[in-house]
Amino acid sequence: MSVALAQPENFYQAKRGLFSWIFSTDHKRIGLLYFYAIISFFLVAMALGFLMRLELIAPGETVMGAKTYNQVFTLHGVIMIFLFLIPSVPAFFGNFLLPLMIGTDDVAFPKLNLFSWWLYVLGGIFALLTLVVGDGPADTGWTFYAPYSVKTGTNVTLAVLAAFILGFSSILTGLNFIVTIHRLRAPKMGWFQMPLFAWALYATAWIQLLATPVIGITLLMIIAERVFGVGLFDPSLGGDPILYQHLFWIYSHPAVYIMVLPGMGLISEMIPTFAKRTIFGYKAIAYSSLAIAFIGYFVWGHHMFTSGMSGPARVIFSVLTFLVAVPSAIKVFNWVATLYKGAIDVKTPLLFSLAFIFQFLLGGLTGLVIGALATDIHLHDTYFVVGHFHYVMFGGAGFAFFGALHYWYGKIWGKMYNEKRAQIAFWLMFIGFNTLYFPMLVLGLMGMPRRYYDYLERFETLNVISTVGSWILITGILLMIINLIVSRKSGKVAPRNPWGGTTMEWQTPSPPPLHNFDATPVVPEGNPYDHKNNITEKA
Amino acid sequence: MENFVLANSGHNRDDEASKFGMWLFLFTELLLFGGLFLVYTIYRYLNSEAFLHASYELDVVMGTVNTVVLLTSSLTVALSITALQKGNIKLTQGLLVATILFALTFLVIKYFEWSAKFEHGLFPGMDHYDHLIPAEKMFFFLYFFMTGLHGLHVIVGGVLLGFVMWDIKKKKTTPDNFVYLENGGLYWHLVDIIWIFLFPLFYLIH
Amino acid sequence: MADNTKSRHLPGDPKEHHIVPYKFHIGIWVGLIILTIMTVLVSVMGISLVAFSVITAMIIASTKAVVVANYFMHLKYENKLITWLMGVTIFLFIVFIAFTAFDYLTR
Repeated sequence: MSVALAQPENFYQAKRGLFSWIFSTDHKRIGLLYFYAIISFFLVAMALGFLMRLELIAPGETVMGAKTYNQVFTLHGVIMIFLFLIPSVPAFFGNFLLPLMIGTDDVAFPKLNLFSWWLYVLGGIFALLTLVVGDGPADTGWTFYAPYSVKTGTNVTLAVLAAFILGFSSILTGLNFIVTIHRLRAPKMGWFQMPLFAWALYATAWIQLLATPVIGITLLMIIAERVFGVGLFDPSLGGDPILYQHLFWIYSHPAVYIMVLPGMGLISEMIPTFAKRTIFGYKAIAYSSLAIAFIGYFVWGHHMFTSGMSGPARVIFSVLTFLVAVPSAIKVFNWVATLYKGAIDVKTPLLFSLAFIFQFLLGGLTGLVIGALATDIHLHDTYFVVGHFHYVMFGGAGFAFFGALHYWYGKIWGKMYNEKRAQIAFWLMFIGFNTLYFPMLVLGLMGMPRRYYDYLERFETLNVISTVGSWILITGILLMIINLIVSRKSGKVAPRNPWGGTTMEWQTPSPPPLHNFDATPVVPEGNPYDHKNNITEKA
Repeated sequence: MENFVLANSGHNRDDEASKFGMWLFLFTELLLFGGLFLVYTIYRYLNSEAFLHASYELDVVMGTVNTVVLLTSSLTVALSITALQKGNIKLTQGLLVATILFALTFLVIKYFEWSAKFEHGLFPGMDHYDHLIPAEKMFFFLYFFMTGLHGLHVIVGGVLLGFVMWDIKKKKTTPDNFVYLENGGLYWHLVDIIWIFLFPLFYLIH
Repeated sequence: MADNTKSRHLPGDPKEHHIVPYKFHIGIWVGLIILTIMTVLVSVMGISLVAFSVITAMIIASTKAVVVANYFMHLKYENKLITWLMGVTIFLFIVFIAFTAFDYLTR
């Protein structure tokens, strides 16, 4: 591999100029376009989160008043969910890696893929416009609960429209992936020779496709209510606000699996590589992705235990909620079993994966606590809930995203990141994260309600600890990003397969050529994580 | 080496993939309207008397005529695919023109229907509407919302078929390569299917 | 090189395009019109076969939708996969309605 001439032109070199990016139909470029947009939005929402924690460092008003605080947490939620978590893994890693992993050169509908990105940008612009237009950003929370969302004077219409457009973008990405996986797998690749990340994307894509339209129409109804002054969900006009909650969570509960399932897929890729062992229970993990996606459609009512839903409905939703824990646990057990007696190579992506398992476990188990009807009555709308979903969403999906960023860094940008700095950044993030969010679980148990800019004095100590945690976490994130930016220039050149991975994206040069492969890739026999079949040992 | 391209390229023609993609899109359309049908179901259950009473304001004759118009347009678009498969391009174009004319007929009838409602002041914010009981307001608002969204789909479907006609003229859609026509047709039939449900739910509550 | 002359073929795809005869389509259309007349008559004259006219109306509408999907949309001649996935979609739609309705029915 020392002869540079043997390397074909990579996809960066194939075309140049701004238009070759923003009008590109190449899945790798579109993936990167998503990445730069997604990470920018992440930093904006992270800054908002920083401000919220700063406000909560002491009781009473410190840096912002009640209304501003409401707007800040709404914008934080809307950006983190619709602009970061939902597109993060599918739209960036999915776009970049899926065709490489299944041995093809693009998604099934490349132009539609570009269109999805443009919709994403449009939705992002609308979301940001709420900051400068009219009466400021929405102050409803990311759930846009009626009837308040119909009555508030803030820019709910624009924010809701942004979410609608982003949903459309998400639907088209999902549609594209489903068709790609069905039609474009390498000729010899059967369903059970697909990498588990592809399985996770497939399951996710079905949620994107079949749940998102429901939120789309619900958001349109909110807009119609505001524009025409009718009362679809306003009790004073004959409507029922609980019906809005049903419609909202019919989408938004499955949507949390849009956020975490692809992250689980990433973990399933990283763990066998760094344990140097084949994955334990390949089929179980593949099926559990489908099972999570499927069961996820039946549990939305657990968000509404205190809303006035009927008793029997609450019981049924609570029971069904426990079912989701089964496939989630199957995944965790299989990851741990994969590590058992492995030749573990402790690199940054593995550290992130292990942190994922730990934090997802905490997030999942606290999820059971609030999925249980009786305990939820006590914990509903407290900081326990905030702690729970940050453990799952950030400690889970977010950490998987950042781990994967290190794992495929070489494949995507052609250089290796600096391992030492990356590990320091990881430990800062891990410590910061747990210092930030663990106190929230305790605060919730003590009864501190969420979504207020103020709190009672007895909650102060833990809030201070939590705020300090946010500073450590942000330091870690910034260090990680700086490391990744610097490594792009100063890092070592990445070989085809720096980690000894067994899936097909490692068979092509880093970064890949325009058409992804320089020779027909070899489909591994049997399951894709068998290290005995590894035909491209470390170059 | 530089020009190596895989056999299973995403840029190859794949009619089955295109159709599959279209079907998936139709699923999302079904669930988009599904949300509205859900709202309709719940409010009709909660206010069945008021919905019944309000539905007498709607014109069954116009609704029935429009149903027949849409079903017939579905027939013409289905026939146009057969015609193109058999290589009869003139007939294909004629049938597509007929389909688009039916779409326009549907919209014109809808226009008269809506105008009549506007004259009665039944649109949100109008005089008569403001004096209705909340449950009847709900009925009329859902009527306008659902038939309005459906009307929008009729327009989109008509425009899509217009594009397909342009493609046939440009000889891009041919008897050997007619997946665009099939997909345009699929979308059109979906518009028809949604109307098949809207019609009894609004016009035929008796 | 991108190959755009012939469409890709995978196992499970229909072998070749099924050409549905003109007459068959017209027959289907006649059936749909008859069903439409039926549903109007049932409603206007109040001669429902089942106790609730809304159930009769939905049965007729569903029949019409299945006929349109199967024959006009050629679902019958496509890869069976699409039919299955369509079933999943409809199943989920029914779940959405049924679970929500259950809440209202038991309040």
